[in-house]
Amino acid sequence: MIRLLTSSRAPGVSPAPPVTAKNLATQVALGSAGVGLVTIVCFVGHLSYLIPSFLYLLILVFLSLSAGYAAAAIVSVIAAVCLDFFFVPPVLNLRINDPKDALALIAYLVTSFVIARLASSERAHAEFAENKRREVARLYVTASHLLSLDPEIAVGPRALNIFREGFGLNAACLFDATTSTMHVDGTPGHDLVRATREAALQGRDYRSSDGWVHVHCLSIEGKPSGAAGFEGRFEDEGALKPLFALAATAFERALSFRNASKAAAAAQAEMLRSAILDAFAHEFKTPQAVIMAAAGSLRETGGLRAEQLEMADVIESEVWRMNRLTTRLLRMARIDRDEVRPNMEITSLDKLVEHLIRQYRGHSHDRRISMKSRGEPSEVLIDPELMNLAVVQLVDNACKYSTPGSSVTVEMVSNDEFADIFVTNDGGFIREDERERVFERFYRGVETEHSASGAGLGLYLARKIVRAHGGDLDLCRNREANGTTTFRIRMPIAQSEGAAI
Amino acid sequence: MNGKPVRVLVVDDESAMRRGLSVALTARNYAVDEARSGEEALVSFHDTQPDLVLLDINMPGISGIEVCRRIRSTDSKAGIVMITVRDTEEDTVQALEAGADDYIRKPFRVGEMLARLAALTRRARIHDVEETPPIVVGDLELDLKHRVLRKEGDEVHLSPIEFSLLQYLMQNPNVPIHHTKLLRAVWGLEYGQELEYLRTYIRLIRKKIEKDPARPEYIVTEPWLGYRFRDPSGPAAVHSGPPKARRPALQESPVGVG
Repeated sequence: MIRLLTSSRAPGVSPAPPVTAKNLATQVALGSAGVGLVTIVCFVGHLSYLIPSFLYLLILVFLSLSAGYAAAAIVSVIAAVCLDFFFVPPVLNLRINDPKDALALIAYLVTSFVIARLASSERAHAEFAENKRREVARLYVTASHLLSLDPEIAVGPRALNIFREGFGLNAACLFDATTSTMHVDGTPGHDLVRATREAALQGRDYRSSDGWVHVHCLSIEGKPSGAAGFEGRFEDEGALKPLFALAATAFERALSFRNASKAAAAAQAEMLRSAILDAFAHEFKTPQAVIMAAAGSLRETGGLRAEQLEMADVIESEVWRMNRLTTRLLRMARIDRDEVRPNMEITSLDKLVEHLIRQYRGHSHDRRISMKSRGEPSEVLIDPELMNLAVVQLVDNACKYSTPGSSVTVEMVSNDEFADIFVTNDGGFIREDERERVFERFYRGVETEHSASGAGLGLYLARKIVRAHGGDLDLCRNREANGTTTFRIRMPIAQSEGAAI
Repeated sequence: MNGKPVRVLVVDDESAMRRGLSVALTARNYAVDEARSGEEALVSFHDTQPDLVLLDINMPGISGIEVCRRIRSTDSKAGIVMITVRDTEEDTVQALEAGADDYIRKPFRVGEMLARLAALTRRARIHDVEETPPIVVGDLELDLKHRVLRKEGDEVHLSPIEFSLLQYLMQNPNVPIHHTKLLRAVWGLEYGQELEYLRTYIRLIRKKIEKDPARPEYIVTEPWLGYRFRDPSGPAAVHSGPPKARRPALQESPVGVG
């Protein structure tokens, strides 16, 4: 049983008052008064000693059941003295002449002690059973309240409050190691919070020397996941075991729910993203197609003046540019979502890069984009569309993070082992501790976060593409003496005698 | 078709798209009919018997794929160009497997679309004047006059593209043919990069003529190059073998159909 000496009590709980000297004196006085009353009545009525002796025993039974063994034992001695003095010949004298009377008096005394002991013991058992019943009832009520609690908040103060109120504790706290969060309910008078955190970190249960604070470590599937601590006066510390078991179950349930919610939310977000992607593809490309068809038809119908023809071309080429951008965004979004499965073809890397740069030059007039090539032209087995996306991403970044008018160089170097594509600009500095982090999903460089638009996906996806081909993408030169930054795509090459197209 | 304008059926649920395409096609002297849905397209196709169909895939009701399949189940030799906003290879393969001759992604340049239609028209006209005797290889007989394939005497249904592709391969037996050359010969000079067209159609033809399409006897893949039609009774293949190619060391699976 857990009980404490505070004003807050669970409803319906009435623990037995502690036995004190004052209580004992009162109980003895009450018992003695009863014995006195019986003695007077029987003495005045000249009754045989048999009747008062039975009446004394009755008083002792009542006293044992209501007060306890100590008071009953004292009163039984008083009753035996009264019996001897008032009823055993010679009366009004403590002396006993007949040995039979002495034997009867001793038998009476022993009987009264035995009855007091049995009655007291019965009372203690009844009290123990009642306390156990109350404890089970409280655990049941606490468990019901915990179950009815929204699992999302079942590790918070609301859950702790159920424990505190249910068991009349001073304070309860829970340290959630999975999120490093401490939840507290009530006002801890002792060092409950610190003890709970330390127990969780050290993986050791804790009990304060005065028995007021108890902390138990929680684990899920064998892994430490936190600790629960209770502060209060515990008369029966054995009852803490089911209490902590209940706390562990509630905690595990809450964490499982949290994990399931996270997984469900992620799945829902993924579904939403797919739906948005599809809608995006359809809703953007359809009007683009209509504009392209209309602009093309304008030219086909003929009769346009030179400047009108030029405008029709502008409309067509700009929508085409928008389309390429849309397609690229969609491809990148799909690559982010799915596993990359390259559709391999023998491709000339030089031609691929040349074509890409020609396209890029047309749209990026304020950067000087140049291409160099060393070694023999590389024919590699790659997915040209995917590789194109990866290289475009690097060139795009090189332009975006460099000053207008500066130059961007794409260099192809190949030997028997590797085909490398270096993309160099004289742009923003990438801090040394960010060398690898720039390839993380959604990571945006500290220096560039506010200077250029982006979502922090480009380099992550470009590396994902290159690695799906068995190659790698890294930052190979950073802020060299000439102030340039270079990213490198490295594709391993193997000689092959043949494969299917 | 001689002297007569080529008749095109434009099927799209977007009225602005239909209008734009109609204006451009009319300006190039095509006779244009329009349909707003798959259902309308099938009725119009039956009534007007067009030479070419520009068919949007994504339409409410009967989809473009289904319309294409139903047209191909008839004896019509009309050229079908599918139009779609989707851009994955699966979509392309699905359209080609339904029997489309070509596939164009939205948005597209009107000039490119007209060039593809012109290529389809040229091919149709070449077929019209074909008068050569049947080609017989093994248990296959390709009747060029009636555009019919017989295997062990039984007629095998081929779509126009399947027929043209098989015809080109059978007319050049035991010679490895580069995929670009095949694409240009069958689809037109504007083509050359559409490898998935070849993969899809070769797969479809193999299903129809080979005993075991996984181990083809007639249409053999030439690694890194293209395809070769093998005449089992003819001379051994004369080719110098595949060229040396370089590929990433970690990639093991080859591309294309074997």
